[in-house]
Amino acid sequence: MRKFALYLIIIVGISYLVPRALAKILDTPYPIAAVTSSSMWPTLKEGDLIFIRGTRGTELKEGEIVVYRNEKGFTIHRIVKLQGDRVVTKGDANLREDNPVETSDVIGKTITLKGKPLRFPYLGKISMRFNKGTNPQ
Amino acid sequence: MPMQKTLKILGYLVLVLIVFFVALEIFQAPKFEAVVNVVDGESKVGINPTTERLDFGDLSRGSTAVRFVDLKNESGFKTWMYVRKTGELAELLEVSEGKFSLTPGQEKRLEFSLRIPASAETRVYTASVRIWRLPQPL
Repeated sequence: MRKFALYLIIIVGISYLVPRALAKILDTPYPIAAVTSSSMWPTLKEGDLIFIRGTRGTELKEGEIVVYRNEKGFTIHRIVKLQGDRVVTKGDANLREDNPVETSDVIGKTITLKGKPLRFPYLGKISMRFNKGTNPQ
Repeated sequence: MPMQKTLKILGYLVLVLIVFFVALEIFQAPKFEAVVNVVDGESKVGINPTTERLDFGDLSRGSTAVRFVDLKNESGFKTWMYVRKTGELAELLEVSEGKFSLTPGQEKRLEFSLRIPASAETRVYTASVRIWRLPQPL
């Protein structure tokens, strides 16, 4: 019984602390996201789990994959144009560009490894089960 | 004691038969090859030369095509069906229903739709679609 309580404390502790630690390290309240659509195929695939780094104080560049807030929730797309205080994004798999968004709505960039977004296939599906409607499109 | 031994042997036999039957159903599952040739240009849609294959022909980026597979449960049991897609094209191929049950004699038309994304390369993409069937005793 004491062992079980200890395991429970460890699990709850990890579940509570890891997201908070990541949020602090990556400087964003949304450090982890699940990809819920194929609009960035094949760079990001549906069900991928990705890490996001906050964009505060960093410069946005064309070609970077960013996460931004919109009326549907969150979107992860690539920057195709910078227009002053606004950015124009597009999903790699989409034919059309998205409507421009304010840079203040951009909450982060995907963390990359050797020039490619760091992604964990299928792990995002777990998050999608628990957070229906809140994960990026 | 001999009665218990006989029951044990019968139990093993039933288990072996169930495993054999399940394995047979998995290996003999209907298999369809899905193929598409991504071509340059806009709104180019090729013809579907056969109905046995999920052949989407030539498609350009942004185009969508639909193919159908008709299923009929010809066994005497209610059967659980599971559609499994593998291969590169599987990520782009949408199926109307992935898991369902069919009662004896029931028919179902599965719709496979494919949309070619703007990021697709101009080449041939393939996938394998298997439809696994398992008798549903209850």
